[in-house]
Amino acid sequence: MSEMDEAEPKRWKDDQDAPARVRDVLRAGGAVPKMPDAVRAAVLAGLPVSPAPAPAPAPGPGTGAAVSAGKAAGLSPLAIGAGAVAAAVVVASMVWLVRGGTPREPAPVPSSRSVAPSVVATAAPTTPEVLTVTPTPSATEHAPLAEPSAASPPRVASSSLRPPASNVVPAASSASSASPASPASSATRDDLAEESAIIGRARGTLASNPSATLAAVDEHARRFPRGELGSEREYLRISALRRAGRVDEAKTYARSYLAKYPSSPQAPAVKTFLAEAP
Amino acid sequence: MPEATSKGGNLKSKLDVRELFEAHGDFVWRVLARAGVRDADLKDALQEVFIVVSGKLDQLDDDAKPTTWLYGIAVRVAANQRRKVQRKREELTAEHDDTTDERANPEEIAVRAQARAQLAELLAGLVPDQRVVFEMFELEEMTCPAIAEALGIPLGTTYTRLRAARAALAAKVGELGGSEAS
Repeated sequence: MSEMDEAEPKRWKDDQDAPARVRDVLRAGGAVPKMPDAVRAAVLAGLPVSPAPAPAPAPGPGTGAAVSAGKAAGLSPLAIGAGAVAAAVVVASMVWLVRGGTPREPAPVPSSRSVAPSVVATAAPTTPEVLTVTPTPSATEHAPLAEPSAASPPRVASSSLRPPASNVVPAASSASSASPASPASSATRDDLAEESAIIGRARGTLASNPSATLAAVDEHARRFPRGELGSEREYLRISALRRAGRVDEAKTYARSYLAKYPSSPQAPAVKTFLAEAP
Repeated sequence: MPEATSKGGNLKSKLDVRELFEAHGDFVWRVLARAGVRDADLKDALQEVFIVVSGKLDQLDDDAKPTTWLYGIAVRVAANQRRKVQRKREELTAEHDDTTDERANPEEIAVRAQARAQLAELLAGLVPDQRVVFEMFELEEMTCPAIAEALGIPLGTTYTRLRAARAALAAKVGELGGSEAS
């Protein structure tokens, strides 16, 4: 092994004998920015769920609560990108927590029946493996928009969740009222928490009350026109319009969705909807 | 030469795209950035890589190392992304939302973008096998044994590819590269 160590060359960017131009380029161009947490959250949110979901976990106290909350809110018939949005909520809130969100008492659940707070509570332990949550029915990620394929049972939060360490709930209604104490970059973190709260609310009402979804969607669009969860929002808008029977409007938004987010994970479903809508 | 021990056996069945993202997302992000994807497009590119990955999880050989695989996909996605940006520029001047640039000023962005574009060009001149070794060594600052392990190749091959990559780059910039760290 010592022989191998001896053979270990010097890095060019630290090597005076390296070709100067390459060395300069390596030094200048090699320093890339770190992935922002918001991007991590958004990308994770948009990832399809593995085709072979992990076996159902032994329901810890938190998991059970989340699942029943999901049932209460009529999660199962959604099946349309709901998982992605749920993940967005969980993950974004995770980011919020990990980055030092101040724990506080569970806030009152907003008047609309929102699933988000419970899901978030489940994901509260700040251990890295929590991020492997697969919070959605499998195989429905790309389900055609027109078919609410209710076949899959709700699996709101599975995998290696531990019982929640606390009842930390950055709930929808509280995000604006209580801001964590950390000064630096708190705007970003607050924004992300608030964004995911609104999107969580939008998703929670999709099955029961599409107009409430649309109201939340409009609110998000107004407050976060360039937010991290823009594509999730617009996807919910299309779903809600369709459910409300406003198919023409849904199609209009579907077209602009495809123009703006052509490579989003939901794009195939939106395409299918456009192709099949009356 | 000890073969890198393959943990592939149970990888295949257990691999989950989210776990892959957790484990390698930052690496892929850096690869994309160095391959010339603009800051504003990095998020989309990163997402695209893992979407592609999720569709191909079952094609991953037991022995294949995710790193090699992810690297290859990332480089391809980056190339596509750059083409797309090019096209878009030609079609319309609509602003792309700069969600990834939190607080850099425009000058910084411009300088950084230029440096990255030069790097991307340099790397693009390398054959893929050599490129990944070179990038891991010079920019990820991994040791050669670690690279060998990550790529599932013998250590000797790692050295050979690094030397070849360096020679190619030195030739490209018209300098006789040092003595490969004699």
